[in-house]
Amino acid sequence: MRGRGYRIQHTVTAALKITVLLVLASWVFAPFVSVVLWSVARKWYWPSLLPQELGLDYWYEALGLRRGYALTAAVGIIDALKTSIVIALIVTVITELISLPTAYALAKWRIPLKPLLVFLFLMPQAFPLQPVYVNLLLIFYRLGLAGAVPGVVIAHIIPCLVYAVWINAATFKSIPPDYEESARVHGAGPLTTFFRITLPLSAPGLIASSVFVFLYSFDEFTGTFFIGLPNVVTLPMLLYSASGYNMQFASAVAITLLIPSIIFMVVLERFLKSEYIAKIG
Amino acid sequence: MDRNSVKNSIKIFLMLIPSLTILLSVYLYPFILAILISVVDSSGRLTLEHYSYVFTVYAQDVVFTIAVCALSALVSLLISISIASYIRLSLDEGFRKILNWIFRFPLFIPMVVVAQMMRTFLAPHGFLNTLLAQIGFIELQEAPNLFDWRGLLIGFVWKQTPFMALIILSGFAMVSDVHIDAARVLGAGRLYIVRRILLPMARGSIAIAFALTFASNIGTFTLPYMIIGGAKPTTMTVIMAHRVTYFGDWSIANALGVISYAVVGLFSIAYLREAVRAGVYERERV
Repeated sequence: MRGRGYRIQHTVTAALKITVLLVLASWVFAPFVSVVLWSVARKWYWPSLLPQELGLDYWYEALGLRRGYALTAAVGIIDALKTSIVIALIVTVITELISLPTAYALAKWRIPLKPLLVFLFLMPQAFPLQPVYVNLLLIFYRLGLAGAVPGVVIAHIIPCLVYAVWINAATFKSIPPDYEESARVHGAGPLTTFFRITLPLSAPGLIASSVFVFLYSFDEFTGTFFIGLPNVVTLPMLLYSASGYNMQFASAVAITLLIPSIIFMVVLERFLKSEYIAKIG
Repeated sequence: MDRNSVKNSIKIFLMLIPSLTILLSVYLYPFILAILISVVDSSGRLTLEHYSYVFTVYAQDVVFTIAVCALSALVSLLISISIASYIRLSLDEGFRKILNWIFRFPLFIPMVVVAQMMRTFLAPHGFLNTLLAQIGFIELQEAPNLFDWRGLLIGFVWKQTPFMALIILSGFAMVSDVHIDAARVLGAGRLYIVRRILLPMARGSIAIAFALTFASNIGTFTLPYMIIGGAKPTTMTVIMAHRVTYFGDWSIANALGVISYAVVGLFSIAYLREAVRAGVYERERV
């Protein structure tokens, strides 16, 4: 009798587990399946659950292999992709260069007024950024940076800098001071020590923060919307404008936007912490 | 001050100057400008007229924003606590692994793509309604239009739950197995362990998860802009954008901006104080 009771309980537990997984999986994947279906649907009349006719037409258009009626927008997807990549690369390089000294100082030295600094460097995470972008637009109008790539780069650097400083500071902090001290004892200068000891040891963390910054800039919407439009059309801007008139094309753009995240996830999975990724976009 | 400490101060200053220059000039200055612009009238005198305008014309939208964002954060919190509890307490490693893998998926999807997903998913004849119609849950002829608070709620919850679950999981991970095992041996059920051990011991993480999610929802522009747009009621972020792009009106936009600072203010300051105190910025989080 005991055996049978145990078996029933076991079956109930297994059924419960499978239900939990199924419910969670449908909740998580259904919207994704929906956008993938839209990107390959040629004919899809309701009330059918699935498209009647599939085709890659919108993908050919999205990838610039074929000119189509979807491309009524002034900017094609290839141009937008180029703009996005160029901006993201510039933002990554500048952000890393600016963040490294600050991160090092925060991680390794005693700094006067440190709580105040920490507060300032966490503020962009804790308060809405949109009002800042709205007023930055006002300032940039006067400086001629509105609607220009340098303005958008600055807009992206604000949140990216904050994340890069914290990720890099945590990385520097995790390196035991013994290594640097023994290099110094053996006669290496501070710069040699930094470039020969500290920098190579922190490479994984620095790569992680660079990837994070790249993805953040690549997916950024709000800053580009206020500072960049109508001249600077990145991929998220193209997605937004296409979404109004062509659902299939917009869906293909949406999936294209995921490609860098997926590549970095697969290649650099061990460098990246999910929690950082969560804040993107 | 001796020579060494002067040299040291200069060194620190030089290391901090690039990032401080950026943050002070293009972050803190426009941040404070928002407050200044919102309390000054066209002739430069102090006034509260922009706020009274907001509270007469946009009161409904302000309340709508706060309500939807709080409700979304609350629903995310309930789901993420369930997920985190399952992962923390399940003894079945395979189940734990699959769950751990599935729930993270939305983390990797940027908000603008989430918005597009929801536009296809929640459309009147979109995937969700067709699915529900197939099961016989609704009539497709009178399919509900979900592009209002419901669409916003679904989008926020979909995107934010995994992030919350991660923070809560790291809080649960800090609860020692000793407590859980002791409760188990004494016959405590899973629900009891969650309620009486995990939740009270991880309440710091839970509070931070809620505060960050609520603040992030309030500040989100993409999702409401693409899902609700100009329809009424809409969120403060969307109205801010309309005031600036359609009317070139920075006063009302900034009054709304300052209201959004105030709404997240208590949560954010609590989070910042906790972060400064606990030194979270100095260690990598799980």
